[in-house]
Amino acid sequence: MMERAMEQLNVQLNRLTRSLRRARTVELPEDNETAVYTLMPMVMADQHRSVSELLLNSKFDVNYAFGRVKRSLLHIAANCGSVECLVLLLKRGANPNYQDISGCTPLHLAARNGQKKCMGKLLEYNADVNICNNEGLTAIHWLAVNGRTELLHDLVQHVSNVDVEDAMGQTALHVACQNGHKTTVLCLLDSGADINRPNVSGATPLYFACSHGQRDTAQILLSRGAKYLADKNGITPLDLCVQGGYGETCEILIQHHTRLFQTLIQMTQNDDIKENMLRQVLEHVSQQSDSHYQRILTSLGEVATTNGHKLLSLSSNYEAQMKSLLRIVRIFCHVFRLGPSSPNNGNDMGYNGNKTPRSQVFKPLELLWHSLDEWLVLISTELDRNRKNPSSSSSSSEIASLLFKQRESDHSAATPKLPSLLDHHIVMEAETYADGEDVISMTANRLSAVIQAFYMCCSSQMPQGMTSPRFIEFVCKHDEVLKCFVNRNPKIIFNHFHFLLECPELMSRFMHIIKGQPFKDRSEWFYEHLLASQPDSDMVHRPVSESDILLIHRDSIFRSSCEMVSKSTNEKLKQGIAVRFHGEEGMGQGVVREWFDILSNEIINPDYALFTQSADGTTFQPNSNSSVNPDHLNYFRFAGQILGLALYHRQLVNIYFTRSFYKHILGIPVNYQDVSSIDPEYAKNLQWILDNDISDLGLELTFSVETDVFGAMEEVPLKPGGISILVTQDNKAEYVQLVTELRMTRAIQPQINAFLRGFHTFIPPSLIQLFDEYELELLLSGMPEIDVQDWCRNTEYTSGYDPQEPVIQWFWEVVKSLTQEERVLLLQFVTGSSRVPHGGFAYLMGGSGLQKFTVAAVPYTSNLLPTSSTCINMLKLPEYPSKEVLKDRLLVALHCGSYGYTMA
Amino acid sequence: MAECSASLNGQQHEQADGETCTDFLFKFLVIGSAGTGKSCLLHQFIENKFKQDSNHTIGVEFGSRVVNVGGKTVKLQIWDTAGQERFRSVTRSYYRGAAGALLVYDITSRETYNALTNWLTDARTLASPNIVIILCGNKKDLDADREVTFLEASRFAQENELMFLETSALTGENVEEGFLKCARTILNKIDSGELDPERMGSGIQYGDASLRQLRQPRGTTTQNKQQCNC
Repeated sequence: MMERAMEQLNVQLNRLTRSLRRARTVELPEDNETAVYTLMPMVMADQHRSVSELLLNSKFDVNYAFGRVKRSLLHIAANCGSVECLVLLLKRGANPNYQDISGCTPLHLAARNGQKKCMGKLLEYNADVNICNNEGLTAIHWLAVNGRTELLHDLVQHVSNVDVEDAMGQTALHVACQNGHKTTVLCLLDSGADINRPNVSGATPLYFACSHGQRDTAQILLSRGAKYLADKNGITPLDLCVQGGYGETCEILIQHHTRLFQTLIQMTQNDDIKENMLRQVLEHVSQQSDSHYQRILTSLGEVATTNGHKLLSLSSNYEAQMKSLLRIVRIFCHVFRLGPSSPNNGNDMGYNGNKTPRSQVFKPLELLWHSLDEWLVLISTELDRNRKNPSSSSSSSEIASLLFKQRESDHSAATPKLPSLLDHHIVMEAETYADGEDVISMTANRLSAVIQAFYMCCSSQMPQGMTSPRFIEFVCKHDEVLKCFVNRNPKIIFNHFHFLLECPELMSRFMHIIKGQPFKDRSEWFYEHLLASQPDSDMVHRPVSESDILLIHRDSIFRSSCEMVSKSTNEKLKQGIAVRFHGEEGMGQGVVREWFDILSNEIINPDYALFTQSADGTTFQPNSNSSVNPDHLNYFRFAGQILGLALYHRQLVNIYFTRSFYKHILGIPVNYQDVSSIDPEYAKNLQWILDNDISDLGLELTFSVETDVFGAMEEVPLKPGGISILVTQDNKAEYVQLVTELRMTRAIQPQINAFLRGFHTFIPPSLIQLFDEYELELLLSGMPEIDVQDWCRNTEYTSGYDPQEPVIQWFWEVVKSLTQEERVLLLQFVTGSSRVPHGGFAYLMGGSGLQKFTVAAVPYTSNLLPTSSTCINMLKLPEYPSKEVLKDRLLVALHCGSYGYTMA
Repeated sequence: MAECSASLNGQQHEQADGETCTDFLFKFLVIGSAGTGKSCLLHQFIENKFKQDSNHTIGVEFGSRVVNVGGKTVKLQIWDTAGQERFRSVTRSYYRGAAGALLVYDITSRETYNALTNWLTDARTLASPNIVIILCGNKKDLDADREVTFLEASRFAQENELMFLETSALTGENVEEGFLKCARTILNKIDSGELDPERMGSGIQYGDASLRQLRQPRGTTTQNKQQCNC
C-alpha cells in the first residue's frame, strides 16, 4: 500500500520534473479537442519525440479532425513538411486519405507546398494519388500549378490517369501551361498527357499557354504537335495572344501555322481588337527578320487597299470603313517607321527614291492611290461640266420637274401630250447633272479619308516634320477638287485634313476656308493636335512626383516662377503642372489657376518694365525701352513660355494685350489702325494722310523718321535710301505701312522674338495660325460674361441717334438675342477688347480716359455694313430699314469683321 | 474518350465560325456597258432578290458571299463596276489583281454586245492575264426583245476563250451558276498548278479556315514551302 503510494508519488514527481524541465505538459489531456491543440504546435515544429511521448499512453484519436476546415494532425504535418511527425502519425494509424472540409488529403497539401519527403512517406503508406478535392483538383494538379517537376515526376508514376479533370475540366497539363512551367509541361507530356485536351469551355493546353503569353510553353506544345483549336465561343489561341499583346507567343504560333499570319493581318480590320495590342504584336513579329518585316507590310498594304476600295464603294458604311482603313494605315506606318530588324537596312529611310527594297512595301497601296487619283480626276471633270453649264443644272431640273407636273395634269385633263422625245431628253439631262452634284457630295467624305491615309503613308517615308513632295504635288494637282470638298463640307478639314497643320505650305491654300469655320470647331481641332504629340494623353491623372512640383515663393513670384520653370523640362511641363506656394499646403488645379492668374498680373507689373500700357490703359504690349533691365530678353522668353503653357493647359491668364501684339504672336502684319492703341493722335494723322490728297500740301516727307535714340535725334530710314525718297500721293500707302511697322514692330522686334521663342516651345506656330487676333485673346484670357442691361445703361448715342430711335431699339433687341460668343465679338469689334472693365461698362476706357460705348448713326445705303472706331469705342450703325436687315448686317460684320480689318 | 471530345470540339469550332471560315478568297469583277444589269446580277447573287429601283452605279460597289465549290469554302469578294463611260478611268483602277470576272451584256441591246471587245481588252490587259472570264448575256427574261442570238454570242465566247451563259437577274436564272462556274474554274486552275495563290496579285488569298488543311498531313503546299526554303 505504502509502496504503491510511493510509486505513484514517484510517477507524479517524475512527471512534474519532466514537465518542468520541458516547460510543457507531459500528459495529453483526456479530450481530443484539447489534446489536438496541444499537439498541433509540436507537429508544426516537427517535435516528433514530444509527440511520440505524449501519444504513447494516451487514447488520442490520431484521425481527430479539428478547426474550421476539419483537418487532422496528418494534414498539419504534411502541410508543414514535418516528416518525422508524419511518419509517427501514420504508424499510429492515421488515415493517409482523410479529406478535410474542402476535400483535400494530406497528399494534396504536401503536393501544394512541395513537401517531397512527406509525399514519399504518404505514398509508402498507400496514400491515394487519384483523390480529387471538392474542386476536382488532384495532387498532380497542385504540383503542376506550382511547377514542381521533380515531385511530379515521382508522383505521376502512381497516377492512374494523368488527364484527370478538375471541376472545370482542367487537367494538370492545362494548369502547367497556363503558368508556363516548361519542365512540368514536358514531364506531363512524357507521361502521356493529352496535348489537345479541351476543358469544359473547349480551351486546350495551347489555348491556356497563349492566354497568358507563355511563349516557351506554346513552343513546346506546338513542337509536340498540339492542334490549333478554338474554344466553344470560337476564340482562338491567336485571338488571346493579340488581346494580351503577346508578340513572342504570336510569333511561335505563326512559325508553326504559317497561315495564321494572314489571320493576324486580317485582324487589323476588326474594330473589337485593341489597336495598341495588335500593333505591339505586329511590331514584334516584324522585327523577327527582314522577310517578316516585308511580308507584314506588304500584307497590311493589301488589306488597306481592299478596305480603301470598300470605303470608296458608296453603299459601304462610311464610319466603319473609314475607321478600319485609318487603323490599318496607322499600324502600317508605325511598323514601317520601326524599320527592319537588320541594321544594314536601317539607314535607308526610303525617301531617297522608290528603288530601295524597303519602300517596295508601299507597292500594294499604289492601287488605292491610283484609284484615289482617278476619282479626283473624275470629280474635277464633273466640276468642269457643271461650270460649263452654269445654272443649267438647276434650271433644267426645274424644267424637268415642271414638265413632270405638267404631264401629270395633262394626263388627268386628257389634253395632248408634249412630244415625249424632248421630254425624255430633258429628264435624262437633268438626271446626269443631278448625278454630278451627287457624286461630289456622296464621295467627298470618303475620298477625304483616303487622302488622309495617303498623307500618313507619304509622311511615314519622310523624316519627322517634313512633308513629302509627292503629297504636296498631289494636293496641288487636285487643289480645285479639294477646295470644293471643304467648301461644301468644312468638317472635312477637321476630320481628315490634319496634314494641313503639319505643312504650312499647304495650309495657306485652305486658310481662308478654315478661318471661316466656327471658333469652337477650330479650337477643338487646335487642342486635339496640340495634345496629340503627348504620348500618354490618356494618362492625365498621373500622380506627380515631389521633384516635379513647382515650389513658388509668393513674395517673389516672378523670379521664383522663372527659376522653377527654367529648371523643369518642356516635356514635363507639357505633361502637367503642379504648383505649391512656399509654406502652404494647397495643391491641385485651383492653385495652378491662381498661379497663372497672379503670375500673369506680375508679368505686366510696371516695375519690371517689360510691358507698357496702351493708350486706353487696359491692354499691354512689349515696352520698347525694356532694355533698362539687362536680362529683359530672358524675361520675355519666360513670359512667352508662361503664356504658351497657360494656353497648352487651357488656363486663363489675366492679361489683355494690344491688338497689334496679338497679331505679332500670330505672325500677322500690323496695319496703321493698330497704331491707335499706342498713340491715338498719331494714328489719326496717318489716317488723315490716307484720306486726303497730299500732292499739293508740301509736306516734304521722306521715307524716314526722326527718333530719339538715347537723347539724340537720329534720322532712321524706313527702307534703303529712304531719306532721299519723297512721300507722294502714289506711295503714301507704302509709307504708312512702313512707318507703322517701324513703330509697332521694329521698335520691339527683339522683345517679340524672345517672347515668341518662349511661346513656341509649347504652341507650334502652325497651330496658332488657326485663329485671328480677336480669337487669340479669347483663348488666352477667356470669354467674359457680358451683362447686356449694364451695357445698355452705359451707352451713349450721337449723330442723330437717341435711345428711343427704332433702330436703337432694334439694336438692343438683336444684342439680347445674340449668343454669348457673338456679344463678345461685338464688344471686340467696337472696343478692340473682349474685356469688360471691373465695375462694368461705366468704366469703359478709350484712348483718352473714360469713354463710354457709343452708337453713331450713318446714312443707310444698300448692303452697307456697320463699322467701328475702336479707340473711341464707337459703333457706326447705319440707319437700317428693319430689324432683320440690322441683325443680318451686324452678324456679317462680326463674323467677317476681323477679316476685313486685316485686309484694310 | 479524349480523342472523341477533341474532334467534337473541332466540329463545334467550325460551326461557331460559320461562314467566315473559308479556304480561299477570290477577287471578282463584274464589268460591261451601262444598263446591262451588273448590279442586279450582284444583288440577285447576294440577296436572292431582284433590285427594282436600280440607279446607275457610281464608281464601284462591293459585295461578298461565301460559296461552297467542290468541297471548298470560297469567299467571293465582288467588285461591281459602273458601266457609264465617265467612270471608266475610276473603274479601271480596280481591275488589278482580279482572279475572275463576269463580263455582262444585255441580250436586248446590240450596242452592249458590240462593246464587249473593248471590255475584254481592258480586263485582259489591266487584270491578271490569267483572269478567268465568264460571258453573261443578261435579261434572258426579255426574249421577245432579243437583239443578240445565243449562237452568235457563244461563238464570240469560243473565239475569245470565255465561258458563256445567258442569265436573268430578274428571275435569278443562271445567276448563281455564273459566279460558281467562274469560281470552280479558278479552283481547278489552282489544283492543276496553273494558278499560284501564293503569288502576289493573283487575286487569290487563303482564307482563315485553311488551317484545317494544315492539321491534316499537307500535300503540295508543304512541298512548295520546302522548295522555298532552299
